[in-house]
Amino acid sequence: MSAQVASAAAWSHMARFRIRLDRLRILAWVVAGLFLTTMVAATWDSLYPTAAERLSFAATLQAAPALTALLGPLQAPESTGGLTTWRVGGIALLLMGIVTVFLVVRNTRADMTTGRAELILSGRLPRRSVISAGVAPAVVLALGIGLACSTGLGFGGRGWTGALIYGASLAGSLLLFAAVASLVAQAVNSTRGANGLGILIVTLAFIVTAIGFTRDSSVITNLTPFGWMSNASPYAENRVAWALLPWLVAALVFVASIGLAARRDVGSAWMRETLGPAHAARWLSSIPALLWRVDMSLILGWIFGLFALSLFMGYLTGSMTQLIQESPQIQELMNRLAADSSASSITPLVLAFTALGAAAYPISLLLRQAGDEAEGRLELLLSTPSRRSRILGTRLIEVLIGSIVLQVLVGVGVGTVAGFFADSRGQTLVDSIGYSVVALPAIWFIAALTALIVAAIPRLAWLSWLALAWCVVVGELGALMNLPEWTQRLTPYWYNAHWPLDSDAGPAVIMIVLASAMVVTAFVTFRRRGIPS
Amino acid sequence: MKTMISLSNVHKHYGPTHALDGLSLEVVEGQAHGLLGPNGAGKTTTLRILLGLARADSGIVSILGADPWSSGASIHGRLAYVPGDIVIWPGLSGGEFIDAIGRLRSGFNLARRDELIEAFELDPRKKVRAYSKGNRQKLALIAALACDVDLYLFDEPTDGLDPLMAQAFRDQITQLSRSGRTVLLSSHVLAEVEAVCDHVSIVRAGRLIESGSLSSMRHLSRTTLIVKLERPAPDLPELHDITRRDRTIQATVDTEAIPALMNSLVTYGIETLEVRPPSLEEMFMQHYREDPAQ
Repeated sequence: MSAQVASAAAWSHMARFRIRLDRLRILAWVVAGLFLTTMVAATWDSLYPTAAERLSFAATLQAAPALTALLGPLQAPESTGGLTTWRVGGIALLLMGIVTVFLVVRNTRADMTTGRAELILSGRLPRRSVISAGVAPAVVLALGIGLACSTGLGFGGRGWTGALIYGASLAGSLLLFAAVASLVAQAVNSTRGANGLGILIVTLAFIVTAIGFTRDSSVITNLTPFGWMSNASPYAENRVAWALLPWLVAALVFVASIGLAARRDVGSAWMRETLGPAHAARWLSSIPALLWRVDMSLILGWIFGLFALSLFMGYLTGSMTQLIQESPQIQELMNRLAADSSASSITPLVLAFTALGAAAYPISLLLRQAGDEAEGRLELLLSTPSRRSRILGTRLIEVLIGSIVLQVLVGVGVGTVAGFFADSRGQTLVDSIGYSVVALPAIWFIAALTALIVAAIPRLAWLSWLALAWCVVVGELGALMNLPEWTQRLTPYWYNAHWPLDSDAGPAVIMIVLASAMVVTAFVTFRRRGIPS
Repeated sequence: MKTMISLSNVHKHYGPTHALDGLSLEVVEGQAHGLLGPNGAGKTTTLRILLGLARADSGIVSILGADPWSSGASIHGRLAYVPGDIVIWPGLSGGEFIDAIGRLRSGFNLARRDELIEAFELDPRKKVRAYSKGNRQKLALIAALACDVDLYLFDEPTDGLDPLMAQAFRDQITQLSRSGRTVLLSSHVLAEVEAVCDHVSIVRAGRLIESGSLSSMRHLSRTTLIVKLERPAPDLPELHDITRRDRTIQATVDTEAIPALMNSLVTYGIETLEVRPPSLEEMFMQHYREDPAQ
């Protein structure tokens, strides 16, 4: 066997090995993509069964700058396939783009920081395989999602041409994000930093495209994958060139990235490691201070990130509320989207959405606690005179204060921006904060559940993400998919008090009591159990 | 002398694994006590039980006069611990880590910290993720050694340190012993224990095999002797494991039999004589060879 053949065999072995390690992750996202696409397509069937109805719906959208901002222009209103790709295309690309970044970074930069890359490259593999084999799972994910969406729409009888254009466009764009993420992974020297920069790039592309759509500026939308997907125009013009453009660009970026990996030192980064203080600040002398110091970037990241999102959401809320008041048909659509059929404004809808996102904050923070235990840091802290309850308690205080700050700030962000569109700015702001704050008991309930799992069985901590995923599916898609009401009753968000506050706050109080009981149980179990090595 | 650590017939199971199988151990004040054993012998489990992180299934455990499981963190003000394996928060600088952990303990001394940073040749401004394994190990060592406490617990602390830094660590331990502090050092590096400890306990498969002062354990082991004689001698009864080359005999001898042997050897005319005291290595190997259990 020549050296080159041997190296190719080793490369394919490595790529397949990585794909196998991530196969469940990949499969879960592909299935989720397929599920989302076919469910949304089926929804259009039931909402607007005839082409005439669909066209009249499209007519009401003409004057809706907010919807086109988020989703781009609706180009094929007469077909349910066109409506579906318009409705989910951008969002799917945004979410799956973020997933792709995580997948690439965990298979490239994470290997370099942990030293696995050295071990792997000591075998018969060239340096470039850090990237060329590392992106393999992301490539499989991109192709899988494209294929799943195409076949889902095609076999659903919505026309194969549009389905293939959409699938190709989505897969190509994801490949491009994977290629960009592989560059980012070489540029930034920490896993967290690479994830952050990658997500920032994907999100910025999305926001820039949204601005382009509202300004009707093809100069902007011709520059991003989100715009290209809209330009490919599935189910309308079906432009093959725009669907294949991301494939071409992705291939070029891949070649550049792999070429860089071949030329540079493995594990080096363009961003230099900065030096920190030689000695700790005076205040860094207690468990709360130390935990705040190590959790600070995560907490502030959540606060700034969600506040920025709330400003964007405020813009959408304001412009759409205007629209709804003018169009009974949109109002009907909104009623279908909302569990609460009396909604005359979408403010509660938007804030219910951000409240779901805000529950990810306590989960990610409390999972830090499980990570500290798994990696021996908890053991070191417990060898000092610090008590276990103080460590868990500090993290729970960070959760409590952080979640209140988050919800109030998100309410302020949405309310302030939406207020510019409304007649009564003060009232809009107050209402917005109110809608946001009433979701706190539900967030605390999820936080308390997570705390209980982390305190009792830390290796099952990931279950708390599953609980939140359930709330997201039921809360965001439940009404749209006509899920039975008992599914709603199985999420804490169902029991939130209504704004303005009325006498119905009882269930919320009960939830706070249940959450407190879980927290107490968490403290008791955490104090009593052994810390496994 | 006060007993600082005492375990008596301690058992600990992890699922089907019998990590500690009736282990007994005693460390008194002022000892530098080496806990020797191969990987998986139960050394780390012992330390975890002493810190109250794990609970003994049965047996009596006491550290600084208290039960570590029920007394919780109250005794931890009098000890400092260096874990064998730790992934430190990556965003902290080395100096921040040392100070933050040191201040959680009692008796954290800034002058001593600076002295240690110099002795271990550490740049405390680097972010933790930028340190090599050995340098991360130094962080945990400095955070412990800079504290003035009664008892120091080390779990294989020199793994990852280069020989110079391992020597720097030994110097620090010797200093601690001289000032009357108690040290329990878990290790599989025999030379290290031999260099700094005055007492040794050898564990294997969760049981104590041998314990005592280094000198008393040497007493139990045979001395190696290489002697060149003027006239050929027969196999004397004091000699064991004899190998001969011309007039040179290499053999081992029980320490208490040396005086009698010398009297006999003199009669054959001693040309050259080399006597090697038993090394811990030899004792260690002897114990593991002799144990019939495995």
